[in-house]
Amino acid sequence: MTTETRIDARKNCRGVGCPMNLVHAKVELAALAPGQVLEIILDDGAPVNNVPASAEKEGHTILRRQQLEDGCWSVLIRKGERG
Amino acid sequence: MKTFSQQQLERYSRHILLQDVGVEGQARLGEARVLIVGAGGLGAPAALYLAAAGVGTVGIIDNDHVDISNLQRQVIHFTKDIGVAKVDSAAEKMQAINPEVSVRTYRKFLAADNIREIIRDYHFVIDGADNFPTKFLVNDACVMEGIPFSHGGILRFDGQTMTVLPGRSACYRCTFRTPPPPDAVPTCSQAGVLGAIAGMLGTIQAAEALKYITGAGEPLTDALLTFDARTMNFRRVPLRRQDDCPVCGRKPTITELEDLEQAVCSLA
Ligand SMILES: [Zn+2]
Repeated sequence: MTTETRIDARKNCRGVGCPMNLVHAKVELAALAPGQVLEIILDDGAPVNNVPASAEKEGHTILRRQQLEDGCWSVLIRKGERG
Repeated sequence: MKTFSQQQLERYSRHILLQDVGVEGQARLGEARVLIVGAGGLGAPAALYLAAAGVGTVGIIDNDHVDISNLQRQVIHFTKDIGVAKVDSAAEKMQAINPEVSVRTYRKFLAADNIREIIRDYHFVIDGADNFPTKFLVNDACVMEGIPFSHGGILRFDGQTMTVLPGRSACYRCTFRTPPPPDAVPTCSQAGVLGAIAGMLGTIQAAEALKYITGAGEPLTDALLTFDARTMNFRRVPLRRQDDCPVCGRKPTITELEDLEQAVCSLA
């Protein structure tokens, strides 16, 4: 899959622990319209395990999780209808 | 939309994390104005939590000064504050918790001739008054001005509270038509009150204000929540709006406010 997804906002949460990384994700998502996409960079371990799951619980969709060279993860979140 | 500083995001993170509050709810809190009637047992915890929550403007009205007998339950006042105006003592603690909150103090009695003008500027009122005439005055004025409020009362081990959305839910007078005659009310200073129940009840009132402003959950309307701390039994008594309510009914007979006489009870 090499289809380019249009990214509407980016947030670097390298080094940001739980739960502040989720707070930042929510702030970014709140500024987007439903259907728009946020790329968030999360640390390996608890952050990448927790933030996407919490985002899904709030009605957003995880489009992709990709580990980067430095071990962090790029996660694409599409904002859901109930935002 | 309002942007939050890094420090604000951290301060309010536990609200923002709640799906029912979120960034939008916290922004609404920052824009909100809430009036607390009485800086006593109920007003104390309510004021502390509203300030902590980042409610943009908190008004507090009380004509009294801090007395040593208040300190057993009015946790916003400290021993060093004895003799100080309660509104000033309360404002100092609110600012210490959260310097972002703007506190408006009114060192005066709430009365028929000033209440409407004062409450008009607020989105929600917390009634922490310590006497029946003021509770009826707050109800009637809030109904007339269409301002939602939380009623609260405590005595001995008992507490009761209800939230009123004027024109939409039962008001205090739909249920309690008139203040009890002065001689039917126990002399409050002789009745006593368990200090901690002031915190239990005032905190419920603060939660109702925060819920109303953020739109989270459902308000405690059309119901009277009572508890007896001796057994810690809570009861929720369903209430209904009454067509013949003298203030919110179809043909209101109370269309102007007047002050009622009653000895001030100093329990709240
Ligand atoms: Zn009524």
